[in-house]
Amino acid sequence: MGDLLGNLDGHEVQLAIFGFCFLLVTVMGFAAGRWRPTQDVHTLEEWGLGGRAFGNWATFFLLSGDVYTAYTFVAVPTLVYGVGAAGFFPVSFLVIVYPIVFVVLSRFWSVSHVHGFVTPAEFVRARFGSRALALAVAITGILATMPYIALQLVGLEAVFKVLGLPPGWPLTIAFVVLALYTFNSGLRAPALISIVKDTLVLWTVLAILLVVFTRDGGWASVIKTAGARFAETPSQSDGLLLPGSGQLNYVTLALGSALALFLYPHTMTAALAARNRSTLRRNLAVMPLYTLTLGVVMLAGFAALLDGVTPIGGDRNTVVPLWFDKAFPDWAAGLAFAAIGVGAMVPAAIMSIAAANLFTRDIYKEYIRPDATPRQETQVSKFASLTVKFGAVLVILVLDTQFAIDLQLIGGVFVMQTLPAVALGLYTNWFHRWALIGGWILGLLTGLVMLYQVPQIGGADGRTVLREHFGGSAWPLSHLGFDTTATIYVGVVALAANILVAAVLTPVLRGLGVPDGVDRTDPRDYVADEGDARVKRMTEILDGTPPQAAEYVPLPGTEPTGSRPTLGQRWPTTSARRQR
Amino acid sequence: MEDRRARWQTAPLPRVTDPDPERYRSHRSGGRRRGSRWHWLLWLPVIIALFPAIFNRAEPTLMGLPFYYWGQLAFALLCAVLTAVVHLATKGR
Repeated sequence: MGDLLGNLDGHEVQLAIFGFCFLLVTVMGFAAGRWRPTQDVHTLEEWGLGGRAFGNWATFFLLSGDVYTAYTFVAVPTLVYGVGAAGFFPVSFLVIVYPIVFVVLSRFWSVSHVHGFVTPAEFVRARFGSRALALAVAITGILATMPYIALQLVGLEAVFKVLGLPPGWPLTIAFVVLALYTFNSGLRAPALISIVKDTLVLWTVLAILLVVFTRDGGWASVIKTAGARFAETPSQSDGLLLPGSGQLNYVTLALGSALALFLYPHTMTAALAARNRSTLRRNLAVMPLYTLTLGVVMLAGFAALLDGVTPIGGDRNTVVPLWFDKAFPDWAAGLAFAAIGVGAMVPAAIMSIAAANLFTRDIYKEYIRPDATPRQETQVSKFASLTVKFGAVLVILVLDTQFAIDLQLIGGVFVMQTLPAVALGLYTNWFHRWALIGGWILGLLTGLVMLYQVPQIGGADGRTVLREHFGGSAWPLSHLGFDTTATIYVGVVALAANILVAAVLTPVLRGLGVPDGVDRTDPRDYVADEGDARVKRMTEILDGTPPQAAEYVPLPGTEPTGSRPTLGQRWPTTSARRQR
Repeated sequence: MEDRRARWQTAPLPRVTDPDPERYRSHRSGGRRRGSRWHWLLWLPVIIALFPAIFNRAEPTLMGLPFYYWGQLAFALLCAVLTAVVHLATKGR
């Protein structure tokens, strides 16, 4: 390969390979629309969920594209490069997340397939009988997703910087192309191009391992240099192991990120596209293996320290691409850059589709045109996905990268506040709808205020305040009067406040006689699978029959006693529904 | 709009007969499958990840990597194995 491209200089070789991969992905993206087409592509189920028919492989690629994004591959090794052990939290977070989603998302899959939900907000509306709460969940989801899309651009931008491309037009072209094939092919596009992404990522990981192992000393010398570097700096928060004061933040950040990840609408979208419950669960069981690849890429942050990589113009996100440029042969670096580039496209496409579905099903159809046909729904969703992506490009080009990072930080904390309604809602309808809204508002406010109070600390001595506000998500416990340098992840505290308020307000509102919403779901909806009598109703939903809860004949001995709903259980009677 | 909403609410509800009513009978809480005890296994990786004291150490090293790094990756592997076990044990119930 080196001979073939012999006349070109380093960056040209990289650019040629990057360009080739980009072209390949573009062709695949447009061709994806013809992949297992159904008779009517003009329904949201088709465009926005790939016909809910993805099998094992497609589901795997979709989920991996969702979780292991370009930003993860760029920003996380940068953290490791900067602070060492504390930057390794995504591995712990991914260990926590899969057992949780394995259980929770399968329930969400089942209930969504019985009722034809496309978004988490639709589920909340049916579960708690509250349009306001559903709107809150939808808006939170859209707001949290948009900066996340912008962050994918940050990853792409870092690669372009290393390739020596000017800022602006290359990024715009990449995203226009992405927007067009997403518009055309819907969720099938990211599922298909994610195959290319995963192949490239796997290759990059192998290359990293080869480069480090064939060196003198291997990992031992890499770790030794990194350890020496962290010992030199005056900062107390870096090091090869976690400092005592950093442990609370490490744990809460891992837990919080895990909870936020599965509440992000795009994770739910990928899960709903699975053909059946077993497919979803099988894939979630395999997915932790992918964490190993992320772990290796993170360790590349240490290797960058050893090679003395210094970021371009202070942009730390360029550290990893720069190291690839330095340590890999040009053609291999080109492939690694393509991995990051395609790794930005896949999640950006899924995220924009998820946000567009939320807009269509929970704002457009609910508040603007309730009688929209499936065809109109799909059109609206397609244009919404375009809008969302161009919004992201504008944020990066007009405003700046730091702004996108700040917004993403806030978005992560915000999306966690939908946990009581969405995740706890999958288990119980005990919470009162207005109590959930109260908790949501307080959670958002708490999160915002706490993030505002976090300063960014850095500088040569590691103690200078660089920015007064929104400097991160690690809230110093010294605000509470404790004499400590320990910090805690903002999202977890805000969520605790949220749940507390919801739990306190629920009995109060019931005591005041504020009516509960009607739960249109049934306990058995949460375990339904393909082939069950209930999921067969999918055909009716696709034919345009309005979604409705199926009526059950309760089994003897399972009817609740008393008139008050009990925890996790309410059997709406036919007469109760008719009264509404 | 009104018309549609009215139709939604008054449409006759389809009656669904569960093909295997036995599998829910033993659980009064409803909506749970048998075999859910296997799910307790899933707590293990979560608990390990939440206690850094377990893995925040340098020894033993593996190929020069401190335990902190390879240990956490090993827990990810453990997570995959346990989830797969639970999946296989609860499949088809």
